[in-house]
Amino acid sequence: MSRISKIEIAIVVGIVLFMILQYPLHASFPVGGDTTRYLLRVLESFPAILTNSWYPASIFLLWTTSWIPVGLEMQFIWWVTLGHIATAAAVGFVAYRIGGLRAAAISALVWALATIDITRHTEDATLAQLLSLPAFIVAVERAASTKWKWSIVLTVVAYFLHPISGLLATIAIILSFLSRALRTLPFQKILLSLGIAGAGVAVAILVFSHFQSANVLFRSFEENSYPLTESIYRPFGVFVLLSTFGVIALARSKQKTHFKITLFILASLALLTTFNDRLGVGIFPDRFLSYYILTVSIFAGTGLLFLVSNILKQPALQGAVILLLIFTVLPDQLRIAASTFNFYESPGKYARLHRDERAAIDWMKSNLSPTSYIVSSDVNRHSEWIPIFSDLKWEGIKPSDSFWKSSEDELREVEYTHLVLFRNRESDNVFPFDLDVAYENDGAVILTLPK
Amino acid sequence: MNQKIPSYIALISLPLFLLPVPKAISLGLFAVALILFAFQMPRRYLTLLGIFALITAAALTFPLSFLSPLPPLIHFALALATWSLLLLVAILFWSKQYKRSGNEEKR
Repeated sequence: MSRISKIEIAIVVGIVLFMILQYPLHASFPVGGDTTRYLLRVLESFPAILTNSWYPASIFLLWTTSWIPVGLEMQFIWWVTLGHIATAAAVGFVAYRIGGLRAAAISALVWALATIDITRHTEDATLAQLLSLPAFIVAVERAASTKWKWSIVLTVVAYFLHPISGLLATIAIILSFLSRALRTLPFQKILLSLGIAGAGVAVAILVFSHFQSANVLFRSFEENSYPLTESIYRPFGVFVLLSTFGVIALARSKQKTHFKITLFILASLALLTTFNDRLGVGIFPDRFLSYYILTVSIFAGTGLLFLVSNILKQPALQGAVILLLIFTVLPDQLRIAASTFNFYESPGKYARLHRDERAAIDWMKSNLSPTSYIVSSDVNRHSEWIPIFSDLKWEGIKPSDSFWKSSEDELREVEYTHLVLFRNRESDNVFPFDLDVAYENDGAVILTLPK
Repeated sequence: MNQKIPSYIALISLPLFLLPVPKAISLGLFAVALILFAFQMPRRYLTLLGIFALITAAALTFPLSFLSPLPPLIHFALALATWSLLLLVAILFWSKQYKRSGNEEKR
């Protein structure tokens, strides 16, 4: 590796870490609400953690570090960070197979720039999906390189990490396999005839439906939470546009035809699944967004290198132009990241567990008997942290539950020992009679239920 | 024509995209660059890319509303399967076409 390459790689690694480490260094707490679901599973013993979960391998990974004397919520944040770094490496690996080391470095950079902008990767519910992305993308690359065994093994791993990644990898691999098999099978003529006949029937149906005024193709689209056009009209849109040149770069590369077709299949699938409302039905478009960003990152990196190397022959100049573009996008991405963090960290917002609420839960852990049974409303997802931080038994109940209409005598009969109310969302006066206040601060009150 | 001109056009459009000028200018330049690149592509791969682009664009345009009485997941799966099948048939057609006309890549 030349001296210039070493400097470039050092700069790229620095920017990747700078972007990705924003999350653990700025966030005091995981962003979304589903973190508690992961952490409650982690509190269970082995091998129970592996059962009754959509992503047992991801839960297992979290469980492996649960012995470390650091808060589970901080461990969670660092697992998100590790997921980003592993995905950046996997994106780089696939880009390397298309355009070499430089393409790998740029693609990893593009991925790092997208971590906080248009994706919800930092949102906790996607942790399992984030952890599954490296297995997913490498599984597709292995299929493209006709290393089918590795591809299948990695797809199985992806399934256990997150089923959507496993499913998408399976579809990509099946299509990749079929595209290869069809091109080599002896009965191609028959298949082609069947295909053309099928297309003929489809056209006949369309013509018929046109004269019958039956609208078999068109229908108005339901509003997607993430419209196709929005992915272009953002700072990250530069990379979406650049990815088209990545596709051209791949088509012109020296890779085998099967490799190219498989990666085109990946690009096509990423588009179809991310904007699946345009297939007539919207199924978790947000969940598929990760695969779109992943694909855009790979192709944008190779596309940018392709364009720059067409103009400039000197590696140092190429590197300078590429970094100039990256540094042009960087401030916009940092601004978006700052507003995201400000929103979540602001005490005036109610996006994550507040300090007062955490203080109340900590008080419970220090002062209540281990046999205490805590109840709270389930409208407030912050209360889900009670069993994690207090180690006490807890139940969240609906506002329509008969508990809220209990008389003082009826309260004596319930199993619960304490009621927790988070004042940002709930009123203190839930009962027409007074209950003993065990603890209170500005954000929370803990009431002792009569016995 | 070499690849420099479309590459210059594409790279000039990048900063324009980030500046507060109408996005149409930048997108237009991108489109011009893409078309110029397309003219220089070997026909073999231009056709392959065209197949992928056309079928993906068609899939994102026609929601196959005749499937809408079905449960959403089935609708989704069938729509995906339909377009995938079409894609495979098109790849097969492409493969046969270019096997017949020899290895154009080398030319």
